[in-house]
Amino acid sequence: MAEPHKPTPQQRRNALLSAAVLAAMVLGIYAVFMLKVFSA
Amino acid sequence: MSTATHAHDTHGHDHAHAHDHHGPPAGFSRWMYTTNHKDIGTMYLWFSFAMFLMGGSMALLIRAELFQPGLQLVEPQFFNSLTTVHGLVMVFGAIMPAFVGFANWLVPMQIGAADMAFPRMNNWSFWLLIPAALLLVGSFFVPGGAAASGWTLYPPLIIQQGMSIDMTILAVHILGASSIMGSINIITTILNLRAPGMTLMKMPLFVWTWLITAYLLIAVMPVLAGAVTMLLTDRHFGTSFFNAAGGGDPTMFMHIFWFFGHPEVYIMILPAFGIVSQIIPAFARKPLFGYASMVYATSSIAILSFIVWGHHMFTVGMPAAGNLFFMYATMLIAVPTGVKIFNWIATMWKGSMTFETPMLFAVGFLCLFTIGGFSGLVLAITPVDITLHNTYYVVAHFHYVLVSGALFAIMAGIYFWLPKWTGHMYSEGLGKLHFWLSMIGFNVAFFPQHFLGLAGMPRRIPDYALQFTEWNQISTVGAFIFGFSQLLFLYIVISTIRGGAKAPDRTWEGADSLEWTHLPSPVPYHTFETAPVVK
Amino acid sequence: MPVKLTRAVAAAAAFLSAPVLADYHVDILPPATPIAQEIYNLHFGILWVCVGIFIVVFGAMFWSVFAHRKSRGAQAAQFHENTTIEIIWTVVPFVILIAMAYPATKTVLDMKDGSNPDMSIKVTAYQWKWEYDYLQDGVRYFSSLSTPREQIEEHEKPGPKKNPNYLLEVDNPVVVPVGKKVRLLITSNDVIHGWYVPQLGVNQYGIPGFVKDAWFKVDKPGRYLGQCSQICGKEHGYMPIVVDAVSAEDYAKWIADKKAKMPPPPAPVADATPAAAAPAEDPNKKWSVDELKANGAKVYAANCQACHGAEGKGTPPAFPPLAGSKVANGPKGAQIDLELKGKPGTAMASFAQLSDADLASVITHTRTSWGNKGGEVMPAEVKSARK
Repeated sequence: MAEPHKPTPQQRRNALLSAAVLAAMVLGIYAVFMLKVFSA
Repeated sequence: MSTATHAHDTHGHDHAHAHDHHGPPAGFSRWMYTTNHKDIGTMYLWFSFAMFLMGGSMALLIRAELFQPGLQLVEPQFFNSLTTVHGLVMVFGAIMPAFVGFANWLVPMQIGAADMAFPRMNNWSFWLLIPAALLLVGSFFVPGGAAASGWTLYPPLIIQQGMSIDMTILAVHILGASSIMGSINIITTILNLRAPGMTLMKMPLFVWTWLITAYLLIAVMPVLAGAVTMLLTDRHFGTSFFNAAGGGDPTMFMHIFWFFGHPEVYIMILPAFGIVSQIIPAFARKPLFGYASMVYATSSIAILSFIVWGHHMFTVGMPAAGNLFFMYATMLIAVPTGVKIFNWIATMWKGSMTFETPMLFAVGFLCLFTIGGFSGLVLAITPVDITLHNTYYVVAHFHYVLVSGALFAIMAGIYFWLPKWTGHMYSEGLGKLHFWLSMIGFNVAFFPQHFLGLAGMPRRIPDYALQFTEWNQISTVGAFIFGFSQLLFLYIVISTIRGGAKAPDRTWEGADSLEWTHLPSPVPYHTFETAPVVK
Repeated sequence: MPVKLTRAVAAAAAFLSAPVLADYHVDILPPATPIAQEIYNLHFGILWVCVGIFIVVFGAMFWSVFAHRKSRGAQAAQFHENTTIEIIWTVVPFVILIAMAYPATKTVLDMKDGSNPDMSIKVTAYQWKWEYDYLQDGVRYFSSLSTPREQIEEHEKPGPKKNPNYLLEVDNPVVVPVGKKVRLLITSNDVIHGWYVPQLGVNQYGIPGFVKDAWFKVDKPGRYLGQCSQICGKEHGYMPIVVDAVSAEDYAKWIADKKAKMPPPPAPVADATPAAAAPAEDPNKKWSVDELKANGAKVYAANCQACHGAEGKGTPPAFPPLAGSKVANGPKGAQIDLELKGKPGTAMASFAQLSDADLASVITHTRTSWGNKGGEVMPAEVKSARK
């Protein structure tokens, strides 16, 4: 708890970018899937 | 494989006591608010063990009822609830969280990172499991009883039941959200927080298998979420996705469910492959035979897992072309799986082996998982599958891959890393006793189920014809031996946490990943705050 | 629960010591159709290939476990990666798989070839019974478990000795002629079921709203047993399938007999064979209310109890209680209609196959039991409602 570790700013930026891409993947799969079945 | 040097060893042995200064706060708030990957890993593992005992008790009640023909202990509807919730609890509550627990503990240490990329999201991923588990188990106590449609939740049967289904659907949604957050965290950590010099192809295989597993989770969990959302709207909002009377098709649910369900099977086995790939070289004192081919084999299995779902549906009545396609694709999985088995054996070949408990479980895994693989090959053959579909042969098959596969690998991993985590050696004698009891109990419980299936005994029935009696009795005896020997495991783990001989930093002489070569036992609360340099 | 457990253990001990039918069967049941024979051969072949591979691969492993252990002074070699051997162990399994896939493909195509059947039977699954409709011969009937309930329920005390074919016996078996290609058109009325008779090589889901087909041709006369293979609710374990394969003459005789016993909906047929059809009740008999109630209890136990419970409590919400229900306390006409037509979209199927008297009895039973005050219904009222 005391001192949280500090990734480098570069790592932090890359990590947020990866997470955003992955989250977009999840939402994308869900959205495409639901739109497909609701329009079918 | 990964030779590394101490760049800045801020936590040498002499400083092992120094972590007291910035150690965790005591009591409940430590666990509630923790963002430490080790604490979260520990909580995942304990959660998983609690669910394992719960699901196991349900299994023992099932086996007790099946000890003889006739209904002695439970009512048929409650029996169906038991089989259903046993499956859901074991898959989503025991096996998956156990592997996430390992990932939390090991991924940062093995790649030389200080923690996961998103520690607060990590905390949330864990604590979401608790309400999900309460919903799942609490559904036993609502009118109509817990979900009783089998863990596959097929409509229209599931539409008939009461509010327990809504609770189950909500639980599945929460568990899915937890898995997705966990996966994003793991992928991000692996891709971005590796120590200098830790290239992808130098990562320990456990990290590789989890990277691939996390991608599988991200791909299929939204599909499962979609499927259960459709069930929910069919139940309450007048849609008819799966209702033929309204223009829907129950078969579509099966397609969607198994499009999730088959990758899910590999989600539960790939991290097991990773653990075993760490343990066998360590005890053979010899590098893994084919590191690169193991990585490629794991990836191939993951990719193939998306095109084999139809083999769960050969009795639906797909056209011949569909049956043939899914049969060929399924058989193809035997090739990369074989590559892995051969690699492990080639690693053992001409090694200098010792057989401590982790290695015993790993060798047990190797033999029994292969039996499960062979029965999988038998079931891949469409015509044979049709005659064995939904019989006890299938039950035997997936328990060989999930219990003696995934669960044995988890046990092996616990014994392997427990000295590193706690700083104490477990009792080798008791560990070996636990292994042999599990090995014997498991085989006595599940091998006869192959025979029951071949003789045509359907699964998920509370009562059976007289000719199935003998094998069922033997199976029940084995199940109780297996079940109760897990209490010994609990005792071993607790006594190791509380005390025992001091474990050396490099507990196993053949183990060479960063947590063994760079960190003391027990590992301090914070590790690798400055990254090591890997050559 | 502890009391039950001790009782179960005691019963189990008695059971183990009794000279039970020792049946340690370890193989697929003897096949009765050409397809089942092909399946048997496929399984047999693949099983032994797997056993062979297992012995070779794990022979190597156990040799290694035995010989290459540290306690025997083994030094670890440090070799790894060998392209030749890695190619070999990728290609050899691939070739073995192709050798397995070839005969399997042939069988898949044979199983799917339902062309030119000699006869067709439409199979409809219900929770929890089967309906068979012989499309050419005009025979249609229900088939459900005939094992007495008291042999099954052992919660309180061990039941009476179980029948030899406990749980694999039905009131009306499927009868088919040997040597004829029988096509099954399988569907369901409520949830997904599975028509599974292992010795015939058939296991096919019945899916509500869709008709799927399967076929078999039995070579030798005999009785073949199966069960529902897909979980379909509470009584999933209690909907067996019995297929009797008989000679062509016996089949013709059975059809004629069955037709004579069919309930009368197409009125003129029934008149042709009056009292001959054994104890079938006299359509003109005058029923007293007590007779209706007594008969109704029997009909209820056979047809309704599985869902609605012996005490009429049901298992809500899928199976509503009858005690205090609006239907059983409401207008007679509505309930008669419900029994005759069923309730679409639920497990409540039509019971129009029952005779007027049986329907009137069971309706009377439900309307006068468990505190219900709906009053009795006479067979004539059912008869007029059928029109």
